[in-house]
Amino acid sequence: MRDEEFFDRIEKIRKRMYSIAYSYFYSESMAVDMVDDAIYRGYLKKDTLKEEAYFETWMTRILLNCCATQYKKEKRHRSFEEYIVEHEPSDQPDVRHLELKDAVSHLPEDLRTIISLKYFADLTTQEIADTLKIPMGTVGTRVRKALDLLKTALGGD
Amino acid sequence: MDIEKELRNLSQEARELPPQLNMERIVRKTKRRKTIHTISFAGRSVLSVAAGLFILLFIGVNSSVSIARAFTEMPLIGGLSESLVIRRDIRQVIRNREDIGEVIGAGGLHEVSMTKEGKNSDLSFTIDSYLADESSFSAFVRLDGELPSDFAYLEITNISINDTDRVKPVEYYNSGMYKDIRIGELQFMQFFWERPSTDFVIGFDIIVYRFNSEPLEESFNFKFEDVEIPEAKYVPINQIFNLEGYEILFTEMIIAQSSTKIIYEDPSIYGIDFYGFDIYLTDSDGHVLSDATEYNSYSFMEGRKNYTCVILPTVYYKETEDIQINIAGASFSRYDERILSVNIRHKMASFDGRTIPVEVYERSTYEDFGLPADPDLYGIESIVIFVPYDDSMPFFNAPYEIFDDMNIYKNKYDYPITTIDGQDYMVIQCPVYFESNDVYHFVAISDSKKARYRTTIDVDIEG
Repeated sequence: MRDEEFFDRIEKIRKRMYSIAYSYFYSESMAVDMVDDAIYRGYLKKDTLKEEAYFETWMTRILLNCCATQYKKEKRHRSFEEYIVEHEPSDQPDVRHLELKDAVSHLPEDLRTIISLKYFADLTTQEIADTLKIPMGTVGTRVRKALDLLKTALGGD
Repeated sequence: MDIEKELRNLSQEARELPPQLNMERIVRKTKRRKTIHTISFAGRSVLSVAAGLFILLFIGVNSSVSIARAFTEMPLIGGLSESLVIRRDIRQVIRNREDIGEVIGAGGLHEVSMTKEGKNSDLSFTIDSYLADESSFSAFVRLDGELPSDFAYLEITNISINDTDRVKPVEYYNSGMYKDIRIGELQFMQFFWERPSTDFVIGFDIIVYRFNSEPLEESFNFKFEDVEIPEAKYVPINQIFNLEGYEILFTEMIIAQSSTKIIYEDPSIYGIDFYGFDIYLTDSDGHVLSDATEYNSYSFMEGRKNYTCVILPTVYYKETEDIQINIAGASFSRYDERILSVNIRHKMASFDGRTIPVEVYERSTYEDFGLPADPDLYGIESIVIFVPYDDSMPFFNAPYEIFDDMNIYKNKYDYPITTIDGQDYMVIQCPVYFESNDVYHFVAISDSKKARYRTTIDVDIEG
């Protein structure tokens, strides 16, 4: 793939990439770093991309890998179960906003990824299924499971 | 409660694309990005280090929320002592850095006021003053001048240090971006260095992005000679920490004016994929001297052993005689020490001393064989390896000793097992960019876990 085409295609998905990265860290600078990193890795490996039709999916996968790895490095290893036990939900709207971020960040990785792709990157169920190479039914199941866990964490019904 | 609605509201925070992600910058940054060079200053330390690394901290008056938060989370022993005579502007910049404040208060600040004028703009860059010890070099810097009328934002990048005292120059290079720069305001930068140098050139690139025209670029280089570096205190530890049955040797503590380094053997060599300790220091009265939540670390090799050095910002505790290293937790995965090695060229694998013929299919994917796709390798050129499998083998799930390429440390699932004509095969899809001289290594890794500890290691720093 030529450089020009690579960056043309990056331009079309950079917004989506930023939204996904942001959903991992809730930090503009961190999200920019992750997008930079993913683009650089994609740039280095663009010639190994077998089918260019998969470019967007491929870059999304690279970004998810970058974010997941960085996330691991930040040692946020507390499990969702531990989080639930230690967490006291609040009724304050401002606090709830932070709590939601915190709760999402403690979801298991596969569920957190689904939340990122569906609610932050606005991917359709089909697009999520294509990106993660899982059946559409599994996407739906994971979305429901993630929402149920978040509801539990935030003291919902 | 409508969680979906709340999530969509939350996502609005990411609706606006930051200016740093404009295409001009992305193209420029991607193409210019370089590998981080490692350095190896000649030894002062007890350990000779194969590859050193600088880590940069950057704090401005308007420092980013994340950095500000990081420091406010640290349980400081107290605010900066009001009795210390510190310039008002410097005090403002380091308001959360008691460690730096104490060093300045003890006379460690060198005011130099070195200014370089830009060649392509009205900007000038000043190194106002610096501190140096065997752990870090810190500088108070300021950017002055007029910005163009169509100024969008600016960043400082490509920070480099060249040791001019070496015949063969060694270089630190940081391609990172530091954007919280304000014209006319003092900023604080701290470089943690493995080997202190008395003679070096430090360089900074400034890029001023504009709305309507090409960015302005400036490079500023400052030469330092005969930098006074106060000696650190080297304290042997030589004590064992037991990590899940594995003995980790803590070798040495290096107490510099602004921070304390603790060196231990990297437990990854014992069959553990190790992510790090929660570690902090207390004095003999139990006062916290550092904190576990935020610290820098780097790895290096000595002889045939890997070591990790953690850097804990600390106030210089030269009057303290006894220090306790407190280990509150450790994050790691276990991996099976038995390695499956696959030679692609010879189509042979070795495991537990056995040699096993394998089948190799180039330019193939799982889908070609009716297996579920590996999403991590979607669209990437790969090969598929069929390894005859029996119950004596673990469920391999990770490439081993493959350079940290694309950060694939571990697959989300075990490599699939399929049966052909009554023979079980483990099927590995491997990306072609794992270039390892035709030989690929695989191990089985458990899920990561965090173990809690309440272990203390007593260190008598008076020896």
